[in-house]
Amino acid sequence: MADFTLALSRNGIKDILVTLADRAAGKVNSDPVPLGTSVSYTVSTSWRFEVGDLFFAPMIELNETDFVLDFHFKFRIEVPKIEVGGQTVCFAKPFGEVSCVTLPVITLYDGGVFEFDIGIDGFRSEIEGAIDFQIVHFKPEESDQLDTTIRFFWENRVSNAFAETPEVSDFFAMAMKQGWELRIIPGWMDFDLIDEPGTIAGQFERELSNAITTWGADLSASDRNALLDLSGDLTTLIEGLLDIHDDHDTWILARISELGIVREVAKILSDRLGFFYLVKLLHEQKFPISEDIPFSEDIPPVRFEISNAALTIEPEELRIEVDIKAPDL
Amino acid sequence: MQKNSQAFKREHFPSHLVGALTYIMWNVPAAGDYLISAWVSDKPFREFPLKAGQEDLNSFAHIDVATPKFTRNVAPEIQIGAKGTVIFYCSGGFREFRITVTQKSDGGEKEIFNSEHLSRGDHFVMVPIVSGKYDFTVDSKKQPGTITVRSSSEKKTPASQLEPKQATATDGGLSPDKIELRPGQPLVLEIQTSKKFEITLLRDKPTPKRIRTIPTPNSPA
Repeated sequence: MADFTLALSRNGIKDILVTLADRAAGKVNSDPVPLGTSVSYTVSTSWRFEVGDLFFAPMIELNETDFVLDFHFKFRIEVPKIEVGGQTVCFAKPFGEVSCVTLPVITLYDGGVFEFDIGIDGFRSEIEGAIDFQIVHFKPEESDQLDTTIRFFWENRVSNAFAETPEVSDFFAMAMKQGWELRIIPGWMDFDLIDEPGTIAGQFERELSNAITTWGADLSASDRNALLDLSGDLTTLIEGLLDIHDDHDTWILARISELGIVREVAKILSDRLGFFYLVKLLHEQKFPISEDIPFSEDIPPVRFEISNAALTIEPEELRIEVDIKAPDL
Repeated sequence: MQKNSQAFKREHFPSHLVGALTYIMWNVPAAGDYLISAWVSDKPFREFPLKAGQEDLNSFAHIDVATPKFTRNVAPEIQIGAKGTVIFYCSGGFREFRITVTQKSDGGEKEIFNSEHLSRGDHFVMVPIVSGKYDFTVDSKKQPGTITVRSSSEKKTPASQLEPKQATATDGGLSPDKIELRPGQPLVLEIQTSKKFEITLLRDKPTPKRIRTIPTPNSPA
């Protein structure tokens, strides 16, 4: 028989998972990705989870949990020079023979950098999956994951406001200490990154079209139309530079897959999520004798150590049984 | 964003002037030393010494008459083969230039080319950008010949990839008399007239405003 038993109901677990889902939110900023010589783009992608229903048997199954993605594309396009001339013309000379000359090139527009942003927000993908729980006796000196995990978390935190909440700072205050942790272990997970590529492509196409209409905003309408006539249609030109052609669905999915979002998220779920404990009891617990009497050399706290802990998942609750002992003094 | 402003306003192409979007092509008659002068309103603007060497029909030289001023206002000597072709053009700016060529010899200097009097063998090239219909006039008189510049509604080819069209300018008009161009497509006119001609965009006449008739007691019902 255990010395101490902690039971968590299904609703209690869900509340904890909702908090954990907030912690699993993240953001990836890509390096500039070149597309040919004159176009590059960067994408920042943020994601979050919205927890749905849970079923306990024998692992905890997630249903109707959404994986929500926001994309922010930043394009940099070097619009090439627009020129006339340069063609070869052949004609009969008065001396009787045909010869060919090249017409001089006249630059009408000397090119420039055209930058624009496209934001595509709120794409949802339903996740199905299962998670298990594990009790881990965490020792910071034995963890090779601690530094990189903390650094990753801080560099990719959703916002300062989130990082500064008491809940999060308490979490990190405890995270460094030796103790017994209840952790989530991802079981299996299944989701399509983008359920409806046509929808995201349609939104991207509209945003691109809006962005292109801003090109040459400092030109008069007639000069801008003349340049578009000379360059070929600018949308066609830019889509050509972006290598989009007519297939926006394939293009946008290829760009997203280049970012390795799935890989990044899977890495977090499988490697780093384990670091985020749900419940933690310090290896050596200290309690003051009374709330009115603080710790001091004269009045030491009551201390005990956890010697063992075990976990059981029942249909309606999760139970943790803990053995305690008095520490060696 | 830098653009060649004058080019977008060019709607009038007189045959005797080199300006934005017009070229004049002249063939060097023989080996020797020449002095090319670009004039603005009968004032010399720039001079270019030209030396024609051994005969080479396929040689050609581009002379940008709008290039920035040279040291002492004289350009470095340009080399070309005798019977080669010189193409005068203007890379930018608002000016238009008349061109003359003087041949130097022991006996002195003699003007052998003046763009006011183009002749057989010379070529005038225009690259219209502004869409619309252009008229052809010789000595200010309308002659048969219409050039229509129309942008394509289909996927557009960049201007620099459009094949130049060729036609002939005579005293009696253009041959063929109907020419269609895309914006930025060159029209190369072979000169078979010694008269000046002009190609000008026809502007639509403004539509008169409708006058509202106010009924009077005597107006018919």
